[in-house]
Amino acid sequence: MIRSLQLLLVLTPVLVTAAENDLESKVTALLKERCLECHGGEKTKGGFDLATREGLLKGGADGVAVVAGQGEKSRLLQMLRHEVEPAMPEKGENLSESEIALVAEWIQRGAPFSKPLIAGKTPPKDRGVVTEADRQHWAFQPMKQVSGKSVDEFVLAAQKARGLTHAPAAEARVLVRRAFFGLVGLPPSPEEMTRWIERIEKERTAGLAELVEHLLARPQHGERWARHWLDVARYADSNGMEGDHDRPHAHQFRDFVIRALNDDMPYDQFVRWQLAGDEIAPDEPAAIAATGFIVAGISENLEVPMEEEKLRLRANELDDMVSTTGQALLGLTLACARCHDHKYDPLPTRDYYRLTRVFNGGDRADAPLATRAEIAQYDAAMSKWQPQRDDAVKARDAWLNEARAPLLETVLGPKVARLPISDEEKQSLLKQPLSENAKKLAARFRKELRTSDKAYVELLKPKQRRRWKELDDRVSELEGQKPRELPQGFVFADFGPEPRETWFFERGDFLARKEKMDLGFLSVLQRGKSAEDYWQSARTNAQREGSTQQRRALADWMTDLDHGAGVLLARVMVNRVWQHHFGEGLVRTVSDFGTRGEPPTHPELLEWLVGEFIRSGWSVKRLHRLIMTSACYQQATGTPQPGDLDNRWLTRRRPLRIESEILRDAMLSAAGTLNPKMHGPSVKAPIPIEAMQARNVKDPYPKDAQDTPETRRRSVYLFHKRVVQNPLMLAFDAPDSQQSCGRRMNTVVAPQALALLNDPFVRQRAKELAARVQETAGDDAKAQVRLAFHLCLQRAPSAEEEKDALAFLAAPNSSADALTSFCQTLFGLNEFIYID
Amino acid sequence: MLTTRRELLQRAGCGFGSLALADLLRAESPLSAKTPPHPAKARAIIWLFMEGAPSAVDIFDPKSELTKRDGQKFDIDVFNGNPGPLMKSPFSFKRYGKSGAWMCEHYTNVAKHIDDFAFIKSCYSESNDHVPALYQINTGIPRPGFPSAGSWITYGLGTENQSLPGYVVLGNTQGVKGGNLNWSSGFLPTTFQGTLFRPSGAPVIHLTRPQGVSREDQRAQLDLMAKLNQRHLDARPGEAELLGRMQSFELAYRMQAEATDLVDFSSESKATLEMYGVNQEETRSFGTKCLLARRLIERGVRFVQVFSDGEWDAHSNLAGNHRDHCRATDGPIDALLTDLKRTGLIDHTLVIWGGEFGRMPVSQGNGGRDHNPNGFGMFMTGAGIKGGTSLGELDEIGFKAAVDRVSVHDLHATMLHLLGIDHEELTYFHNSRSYRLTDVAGKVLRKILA
Repeated sequence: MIRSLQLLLVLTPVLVTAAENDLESKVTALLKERCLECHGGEKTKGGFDLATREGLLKGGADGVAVVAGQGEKSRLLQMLRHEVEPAMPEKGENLSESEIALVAEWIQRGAPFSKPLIAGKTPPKDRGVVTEADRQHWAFQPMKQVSGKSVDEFVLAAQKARGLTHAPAAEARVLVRRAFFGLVGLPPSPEEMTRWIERIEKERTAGLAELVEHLLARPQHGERWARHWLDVARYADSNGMEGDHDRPHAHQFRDFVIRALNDDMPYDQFVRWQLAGDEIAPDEPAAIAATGFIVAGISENLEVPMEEEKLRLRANELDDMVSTTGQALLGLTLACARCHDHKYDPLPTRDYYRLTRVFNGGDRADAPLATRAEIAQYDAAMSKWQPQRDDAVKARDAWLNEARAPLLETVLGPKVARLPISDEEKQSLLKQPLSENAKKLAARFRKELRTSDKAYVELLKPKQRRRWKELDDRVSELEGQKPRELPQGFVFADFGPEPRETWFFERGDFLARKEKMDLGFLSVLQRGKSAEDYWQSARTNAQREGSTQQRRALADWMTDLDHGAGVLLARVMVNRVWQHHFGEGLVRTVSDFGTRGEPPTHPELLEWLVGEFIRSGWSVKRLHRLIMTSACYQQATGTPQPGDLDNRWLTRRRPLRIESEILRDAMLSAAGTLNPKMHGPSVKAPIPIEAMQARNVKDPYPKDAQDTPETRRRSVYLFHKRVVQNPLMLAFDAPDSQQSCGRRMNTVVAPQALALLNDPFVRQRAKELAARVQETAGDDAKAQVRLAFHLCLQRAPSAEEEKDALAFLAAPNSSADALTSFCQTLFGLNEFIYID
Repeated sequence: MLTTRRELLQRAGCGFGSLALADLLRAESPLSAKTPPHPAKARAIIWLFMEGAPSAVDIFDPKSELTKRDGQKFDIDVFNGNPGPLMKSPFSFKRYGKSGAWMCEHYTNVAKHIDDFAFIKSCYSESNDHVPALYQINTGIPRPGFPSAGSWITYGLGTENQSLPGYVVLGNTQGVKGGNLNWSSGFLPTTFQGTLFRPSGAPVIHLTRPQGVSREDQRAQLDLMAKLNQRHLDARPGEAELLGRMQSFELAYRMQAEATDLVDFSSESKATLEMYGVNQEETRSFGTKCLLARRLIERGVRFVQVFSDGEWDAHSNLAGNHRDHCRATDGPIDALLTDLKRTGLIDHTLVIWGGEFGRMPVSQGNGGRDHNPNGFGMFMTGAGIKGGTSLGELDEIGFKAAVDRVSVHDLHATMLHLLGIDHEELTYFHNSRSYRLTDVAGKVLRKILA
């Protein structure tokens, strides 16, 4: 009865008496004066908007503050009385006791509100429910069929509408350099320059298409574009945090990405494997390696018993997986929904935790990258081999143990004599080696007494030695037959077939379990098919046991064009590819396609490209072809057109700065010392000791790493130690791999200049370049300058440039080698690092 | 917002908006000093960072109840497990100054300044683990990848000396747990990240010229580069970034001289060197860093973080650990405060003392104390601080912050306030939302303000 009365109070405006009317006006005046500015007026702090009755009762990020009809129990009262944090009001004097009593009584009477505190204010929207209106945001809509023939028709139409035009086409030389850096991230050699310039000058369209084809077929293409994806996947070779343990197998994921891009793996498959390769194609080692995507984020091997810290860590790791999935694949800032419904996008917290359940079914794992047959074969071979080998070792050691008994005193005598123990103890060690006391001593001085078998064997009689050799050879023979170890990957694996209990955490607090979550994806991207439907079908078609198939369900939904997230997935990827060619995406907020992101500058073009992309079987290489053969791509740099200063309408080419890795590769390439070796474990190149600031790192970065051919490989193969960043890379805005990075910073700061002037790596490459120039061009300074220009800038110097360079080389120099200094100067040029 | 994202990107040369070309070419450096939006008490901050987490109840916040209950069992969960009984402080305490505030027997020189201190005795944070706690006290968030307070401050205010970084870190000689992510600019442009200065030799990475290359050689390189770059720029008008990059080489050249001069103490008097203890084994390292901090502030650097060496992480033998750390820092801190007062720098410099969290009232192992994020203490002095005050209380045994609890956001809000910044106004748009150093919380600790 009481309960239903309260319910009645909540749901219906109470009968109004004069006294109550007075109470309401007093309290609402108080709320207006003391609370409204921060809670519904100028601001809505803590997500608590009390301008309307609905908002007041809904509460904020910290939960419900007012329960109508329960004045004393309402948390608002406790806050006003400073019994709980945050004590209110934050600004100005506290409320008086009589004022607080008024508020209590008003709530007790159902918190009547005859009108909003701000005229015309409507109740806050419930973000926990996704509506049809939410789905109207451009990015969430189904694919639109846009007919068209080329990139250019869309770009030109947009320009025409604004009275703008294309810049003139770039000359062949510029185009060749642009295409090389764009697709393979390396400068063309002088011979390649000549060849392709000739080809393009002869037949521009066909020549360029041929060049694009040639570059797409080169294995360096995968290396260059893998780096873009590794940014998005927050890839590194260590855990991060305090211990920053190495991940010796993480590189298998990097190699998967390189190969997939080189093979033009359909992008939907590329994504599906990264989410659930082990479930989808359990006999494809590459598919298993692909799940390295999920686990590439930071983690910590926390070996302390405190439960709270373990829970915190797990919650953070799951958050990393969920938010990276949202951001990298769908351009959505899911992390915002961890503590409260997303403020701007239709991403309820409930969706966030339902999605968490997918990854809560498993964790990081080292796993063999092999087919199940190979694994079974290996296990069988090992279980046969291991006992044989152990027996052989046992037989040899037991025989020797017996045979050497008479020799113990001879061999150990001198060692025992040197021990800091009494003569009595020494005697007991030698004469009664099996006594308790002797055993204790032997254990204590294990290191000092350690003796190789060889020392005894040498003293054996010839016949005994032959026997020992037989036994030892048997061990060696078996060691030689050890089954070859399977390659290992750093992957994601489910704990078993049963999903783990997953909770909705109130306010993101992992100690505040609110309710258990079913499997679910993002409601706004679900049309007519539930997560349960996807999961059911994934289980029905399961390719393997021991896994929940929840990730497979996620992958199916993610790539589903009709009922799932597939269209957005494609939009985000098309936009990423565009960004890397032009410096800006068609959607400039590349990792935010939500309502706060920028809308596309050319929506039709984006949609047309998405259509082409999907129709081509999700071929990323097809996108490169479409983009790079367009007239838009071929424009020259030049003066900005009035009306398009920021090049939103693509009226010219903006010089693009190459990334830190490509800068390093370009220096190695110019120097002629780039080691082209592909794939395999990451390489620890020298890092100055000064950059190793992290204490207590468990696998410390080597302080004595040398500059060797092995370290002169492309930067994509460098070992990325999360807390020991390479200062040259860091200076040039390499991402810190703590979170997904869809767009790098592009700062211009003095430390970059310092790095180019003083980093030993840079000087060393300049030295190599100088040697290369000297060797080819001989002592003729003019020829030297020309060659160095060609190797660094892919062009001949102008007459003026040549004059300046020759003057530099001729000037009296200190002990430094002038040619080396000249070469280093070229590395520092804007033209070296900005590609037209 | 102090600086809108668009403005910032334009200044950093990343985007163009609709500014006229002429404006772009005049674009100032993102680090040039800006007038604070609100009245400021402080222009600069020196944060004496006691890495490893010192124990307040053993330094300036003695608890008689803890002494009384020494040896009693106490139900508690601690980071490393196996908690011991309550343990009284091994140190003796005295009251100092007019304020009569407590200080332990090993901080007698620091105690000379006690009437200028505001103690904050009720801080709390989240994680029991060093690295998340370090990240939180530095960035507000107990996870890596967020901008540190120093980055936010240089983003908001720039710095007064363009030949030195605006945010300098004088590191721990043994390294800092969690590495340079502690002074990372996170999602802010790297322009604002902390620069690690080493107290001897070449202070900054990449400052030493390659072997055999003289300053004149490098000048010649820069001159040639400028000529070639100028012609390149002439053909690409409107690309302010190219010009910015040319200027960055000149700045780098000036920086080399300025930074080298900075660590050259020959202009300091013998008495000064003595006062900082730079010639005594025990205080050499921290004393040198304190002297460097003064020289940096003097030259207009905005934010200096001075790490103590080793760690205050006394899991065993707290008496020895804290005694040694006090001895290494007591004289140098006294010298720094004395020097700042002598030079008047104290009038616009905020000095902060504290670590990443505190320590447990119960013992661990052989006379140690485990980690404690539930309650810990700090003190502030200098510009804008009301001396002789104390804010908040731990509970009677020193386990949890009990009265006037102070969050890390509150500390950051207060730092910004003293610099003339409303912590709610200093924002940066990233991933579809406006971020703040203080996330969605933080209040200024008005009780300790002058």
